[in-house]
Amino acid sequence: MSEIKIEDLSKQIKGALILDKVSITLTSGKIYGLRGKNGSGKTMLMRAMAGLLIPDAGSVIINGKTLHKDISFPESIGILIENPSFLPQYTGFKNLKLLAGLTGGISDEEIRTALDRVGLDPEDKRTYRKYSLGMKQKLGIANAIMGEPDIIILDEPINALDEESVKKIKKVLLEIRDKDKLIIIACHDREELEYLSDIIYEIKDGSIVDRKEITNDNA
Amino acid sequence: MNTVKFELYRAFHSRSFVISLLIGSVICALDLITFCVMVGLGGRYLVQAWIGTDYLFAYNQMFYILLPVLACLPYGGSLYTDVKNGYDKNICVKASRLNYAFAKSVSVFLSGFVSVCLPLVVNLFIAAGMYSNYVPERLNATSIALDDIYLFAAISDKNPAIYCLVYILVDSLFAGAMALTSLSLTVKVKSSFTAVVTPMVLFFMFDIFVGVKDYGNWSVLAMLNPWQYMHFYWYQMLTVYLVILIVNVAVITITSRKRDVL
Repeated sequence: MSEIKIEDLSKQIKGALILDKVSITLTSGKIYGLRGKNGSGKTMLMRAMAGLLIPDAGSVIINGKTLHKDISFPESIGILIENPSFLPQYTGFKNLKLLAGLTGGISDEEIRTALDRVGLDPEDKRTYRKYSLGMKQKLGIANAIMGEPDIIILDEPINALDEESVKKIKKVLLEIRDKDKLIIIACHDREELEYLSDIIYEIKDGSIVDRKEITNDNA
Repeated sequence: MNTVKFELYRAFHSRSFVISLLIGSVICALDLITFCVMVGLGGRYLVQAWIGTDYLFAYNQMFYILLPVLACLPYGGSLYTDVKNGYDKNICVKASRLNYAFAKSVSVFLSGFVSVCLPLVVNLFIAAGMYSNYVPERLNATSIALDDIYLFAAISDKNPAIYCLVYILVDSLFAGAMALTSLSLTVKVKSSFTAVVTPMVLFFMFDIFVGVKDYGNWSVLAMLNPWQYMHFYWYQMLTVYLVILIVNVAVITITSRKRDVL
């Protein structure tokens, strides 16, 4: 059971207010969608939840522990925020293996499973620099879901993916949600976001302006 | 510890580490070849042939002028690259910023250390296979420690090869500390190239400054040359080393702690 509690979170970057007193609580077993125009603050909110932003005011509390006070980073998290970035000289498997080594506890088999689930061949000998845009995106998703962390944050996960891959990713995300994981997604595609999400937050000028519960048949 | 292992793996498997080693090795090899061809094999000593103390050809100066670049090139620009392409996000959700900065610092220091140490050691070993480790006469104007006032003169009087090894250790430790300069410059520079080259420019400017002000024996780059064409005291060497190390570590720590990973 995971919970992210955001209390009065505010952040300014270079004088511009990018998050303005955001307060929400997210719990596991659900997919949360973030919707908003470009520059509305979706990605920054995701960064703050991942511990990548240091708040000017307010706090991000994960499972009762305040980020940057009690913990430096969330204990179990996978992210894909903006463009995926990996080491170009290594294969997809090698890239994930290196990153998995940072925390330990993720086996080669789990890495292979993650790659397979997003539609990448774990035995592919091509290096990351030779990957297509779609393959890079899939590797980014595989990185976020490998080892099935408690919290998964995906910013525009279906960008650059073909229709078949989108279906596959959606299926994987719903499977993971059903294992009582907390998933947060930002997506420009309204239909896809509504299909995947249980709750959608609308963000405007760094503030949450609307909350909408979605009832669909994927539950 | 995992983050340190991860960064060390990246540092020592990087193409720039190999390039740095190659540049250092080529300069060292050219020096030894030139010495063999121009001076010959007979009647010469190890300390005359080793690049660090061979003052006959320009390769000695070339190596020590380029030393900051050789040190920074392997991994000094890596934090800039990580930040620029967003790779640091992958790490900062799995390790604290301070841990990441510590791992980077260790890897940058060690890669700088090795990229300077290895060519000098290999050059010394090859030279030792060709020339005797004879202790030169002080008045022979060979190259090093002509008087007791020179650093490590007692060692060079007993065993010149050990003197060379001691100086290689000193140079490599300095190289590690200098490499950290490129890491601490990361927040200010606009490219990985600038991060790698700026430390050399800074050390040059410092040398010019102390030269103009008549404090030439505080020159960092001259201090590192085992030929010792200037006279230094050990406390100067230690002071300069500690200043470089402490300033860099402080800047890296302060800038890393509160950095937003964008």
